[in-house]
Amino acid sequence: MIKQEDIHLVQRLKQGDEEAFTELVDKYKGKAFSIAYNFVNNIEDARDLSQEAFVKVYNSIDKFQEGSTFYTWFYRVLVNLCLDFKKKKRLKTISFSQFKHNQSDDGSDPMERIKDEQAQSPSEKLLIKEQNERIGQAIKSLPEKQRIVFILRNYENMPLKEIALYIKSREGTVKSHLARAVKKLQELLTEMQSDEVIDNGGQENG
Amino acid sequence: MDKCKKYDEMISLYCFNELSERDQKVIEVHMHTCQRCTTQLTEIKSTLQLVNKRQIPEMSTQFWEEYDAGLKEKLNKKPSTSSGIFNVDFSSIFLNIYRKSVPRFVYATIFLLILATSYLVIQQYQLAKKDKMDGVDTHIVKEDIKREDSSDTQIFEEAVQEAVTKKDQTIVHLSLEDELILQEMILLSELGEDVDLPLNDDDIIEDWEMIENLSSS
Repeated sequence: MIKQEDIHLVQRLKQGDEEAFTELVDKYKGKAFSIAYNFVNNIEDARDLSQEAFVKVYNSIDKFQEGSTFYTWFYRVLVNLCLDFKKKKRLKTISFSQFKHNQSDDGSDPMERIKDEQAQSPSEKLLIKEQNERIGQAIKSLPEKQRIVFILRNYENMPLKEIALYIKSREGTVKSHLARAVKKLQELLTEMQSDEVIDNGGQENG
Repeated sequence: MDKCKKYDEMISLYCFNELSERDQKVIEVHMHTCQRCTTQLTEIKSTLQLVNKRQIPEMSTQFWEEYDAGLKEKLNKKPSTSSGIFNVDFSSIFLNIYRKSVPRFVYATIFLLILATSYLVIQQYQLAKKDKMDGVDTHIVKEDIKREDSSDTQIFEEAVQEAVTKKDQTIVHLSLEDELILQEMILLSELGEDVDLPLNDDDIIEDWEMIENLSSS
């Protein structure tokens, strides 16, 4: 993620170069999808939200000040969208959402569009799927700021200084949020961890 | 034990390499002698490992092709501002059209159409306004009078009839000029003549003399 490249692409985009926009999308769509997925735990929603972020960026590129980092600005737009989305969903949905949140628009199983991992057996796939969902739920249950800080730092390796700018807090506060998030996740996932130890025969990974 | 709780935050940050060098040393030294904190470190590391096992699904090529297509669609749908149609940025719409290399004459035609439509709308508005001020709604008749095509005679006659009926029904007093105009139109329509609206007082007087002459002949 070379910032210099981004500056050049943004300049071209401001001049109306659509190719530049296509390049930016190709560069960031994977990450954007991942971040959105971390927040919303749903392929369709993650897709829609990341696309929305690109549309917003395209339409308001004139407002982007070249002093700041494109990547930070883009993620701010994306994360705001994810948070707004979650607020709206909270108002609408009932607790059954955990069972149907992977339903796609046309009723087909979005998991079919995932790359086929041939090394895994169906039961392994199911286990991974369940594990992912439980972790996802645990992250979702974190208070808002803790969740933002944790996702951006843990999954995106965003420096705490940048996160501090984004959530308009001091760096010390951001550190607190991170530490509390970790502690909370530890409490929530302790049960899962003991299952893990049994499944892996006590092996440690990484 | 209570004393150790305060180290929990440091232990978490230690796992992320977010401690200052000084604090790093403090916690390492502490853990040498504190079993509780050493266990805590192990547990937190293992939580983080678990959390990092969470896989973002790796999507297929087809998904990404559909993604690009969907994005293009959304770009084409959205106006450049989201505050309603009245705030649409026309310059960016035209810029988008230009980028698609549409021939310039299409560009020019659209512009002319917009101009022509605006002109007609303004005309209509002014006519309607004037009619209301005149006290009788003869705009239907005036519209038809402007036609020079003889095939519109029937429409004209119907319009005149309608105006006459309305005139009979209306309780608004017509000005002398309007009275004269109306009578002229009725007379000339009976004679099968095309009618032009008189434009000024002299015309009215001249026309009235003509009518009188016609009546007396």
